[in-house]
Amino acid sequence: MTDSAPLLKVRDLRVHFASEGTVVRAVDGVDLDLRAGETLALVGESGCGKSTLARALVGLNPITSGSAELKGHTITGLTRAAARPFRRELQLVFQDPYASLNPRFTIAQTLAEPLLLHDKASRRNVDAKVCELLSQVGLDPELRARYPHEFSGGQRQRISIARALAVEPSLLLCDEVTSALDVSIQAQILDLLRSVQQKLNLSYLFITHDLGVVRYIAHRVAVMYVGQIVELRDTESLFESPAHPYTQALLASIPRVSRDERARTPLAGEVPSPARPPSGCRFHPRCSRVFDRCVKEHPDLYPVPAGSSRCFLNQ
Amino acid sequence: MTPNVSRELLRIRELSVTFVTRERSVRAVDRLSFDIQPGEVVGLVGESGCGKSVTSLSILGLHEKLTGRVTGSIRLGERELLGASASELRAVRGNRVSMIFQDPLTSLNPYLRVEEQLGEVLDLHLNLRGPAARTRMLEILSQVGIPGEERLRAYPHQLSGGMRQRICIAMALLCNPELLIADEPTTMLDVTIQAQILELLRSLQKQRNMSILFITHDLGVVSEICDRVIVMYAGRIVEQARTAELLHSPLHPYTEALLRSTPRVDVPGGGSLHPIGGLPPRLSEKKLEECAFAPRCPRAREGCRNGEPELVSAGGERLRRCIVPISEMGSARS
Repeated sequence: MTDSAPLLKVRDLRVHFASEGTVVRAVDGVDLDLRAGETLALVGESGCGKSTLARALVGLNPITSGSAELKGHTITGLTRAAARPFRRELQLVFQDPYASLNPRFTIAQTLAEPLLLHDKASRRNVDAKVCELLSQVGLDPELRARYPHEFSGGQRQRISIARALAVEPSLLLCDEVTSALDVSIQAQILDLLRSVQQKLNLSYLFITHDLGVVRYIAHRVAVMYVGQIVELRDTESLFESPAHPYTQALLASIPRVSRDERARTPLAGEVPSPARPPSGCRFHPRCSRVFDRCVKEHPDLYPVPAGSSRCFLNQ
Repeated sequence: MTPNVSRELLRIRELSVTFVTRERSVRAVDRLSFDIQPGEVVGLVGESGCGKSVTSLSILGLHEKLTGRVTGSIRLGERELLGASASELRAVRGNRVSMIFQDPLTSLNPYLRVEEQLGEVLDLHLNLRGPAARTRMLEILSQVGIPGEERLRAYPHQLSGGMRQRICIAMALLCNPELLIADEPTTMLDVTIQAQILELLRSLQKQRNMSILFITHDLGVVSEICDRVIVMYAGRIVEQARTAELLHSPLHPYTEALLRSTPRVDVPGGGSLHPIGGLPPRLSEKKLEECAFAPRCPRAREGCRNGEPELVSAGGERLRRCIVPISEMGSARS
């Protein structure tokens, strides 16, 4: 990590969808900075906007307002042609490697396509590049003539990572990349991502619902709730002393191997719809520490040690 | 394992499930034996393909849909379920044993309102219709934490994932089963909702003194709800123990490796991860003359390749299938 200008700078980003006469505020004013070589985890429950945010950054969801800059260049609101050079820099890796690999392509074809499209290889040396990519992700290059169905889930995820790395990106957006894998395989993929990051000084925006994975892989964590970041902290500070009541509840909900006593009170209620966010603080209807002001006023992000928290208690 | 007093609710002996394809036969579950006592919550743990779901389906006689060949014995109380006729099985399913699944949306009929789905169960199993059925429905809905008439009129798509799982639980409990089989019931839910559902299952289990066979891959979930745990690998039981014992001092290297490859929320840096190298064996290519875990086992030695170890007692009711001396097994985390 360096102290220089951030690699990715997101400011007041909003992604709103029109649905059945209402506006769904899927992402509603997000600010983020991501440095080179850094892993920022984006966590939160289903529908909190974490995947929508990642997809908006690569142009898969239209942005309603706000901006994102990569290495100082604005990458939002561009025409397709103008956006193309930046597409290479940001690569998405998905949860289900079986659905994201073309079943009719051999692994060599799958990896050759981006290499050739982005001029990272010529017809002559493309095969050597493919082999190099496969060894980089821990797969035997001898297997490159095979099809996706001949590989296990973990191997397929390695192939997806190799494909993302083919175009030499500076940032990988990893959307639940280990959620479909068994734990023993998940650990292999997490180790691979860590070692690739060190070698290439890559940045990760790491989306997951698994907070154990977050603590293992992330340098910083952004917790999202109903379209907004409610807490943004250095990883260890977040886990040791969560500032926002939602983060506290989230951490308390995780079943853990070391827990001897079984007593705890789960967070009541469910996540509200982003089409009808509650007044004031969006967490107030479920918050155990709610007071008058939370119902009427919307809190800003206030500084707390090693980050910020969107709660009046931290003001 | 004493044969004289048969107090156990479920008694499985030498259960094998074999799938025969044109080229080969695959034994997904291999000579499995275990018991569940009344009021006990037993976890069945392992990774994809270890045979845990196939085991649960064969208890309910649903293996026929899987075209598997099932041998051994599955006794519920005094009744043998293997080889029972369709009508005998119907008397057991839903009444004495019921099941909830991972995805509540696919286990509910999208065309039917909640009241129609619950009503069907009451009609078929308890001969209950009209206002009596309605009273029972409202009662069970409030027991699963979603009281109110309006829930009865909802279609599954109008409910959240957590509420749908509550409806499935309500449906499974309508006939007061003695055994609930829960196959990864919280895997698709967010953690805060998972915590709610685990809490609900725990309190319903206590109130009714019901037994639960809880199938999961998540050792954290196991620690929250199970009294006893059975770990499966490649169709075989490799370890069985009380939950706290298993999680604190696993006696099989596979259990130990599972614990060491799970990132921890409660340890700085997520703890140190030790991935298990390689992949589980393809069941069709599993070598019978060695321990199935030996090729991936960090503690493997010469003797592991000479015949599969027996499942033997490791003190009390603990069982393990491993030849590594217990004194060599470290604690789960260093």
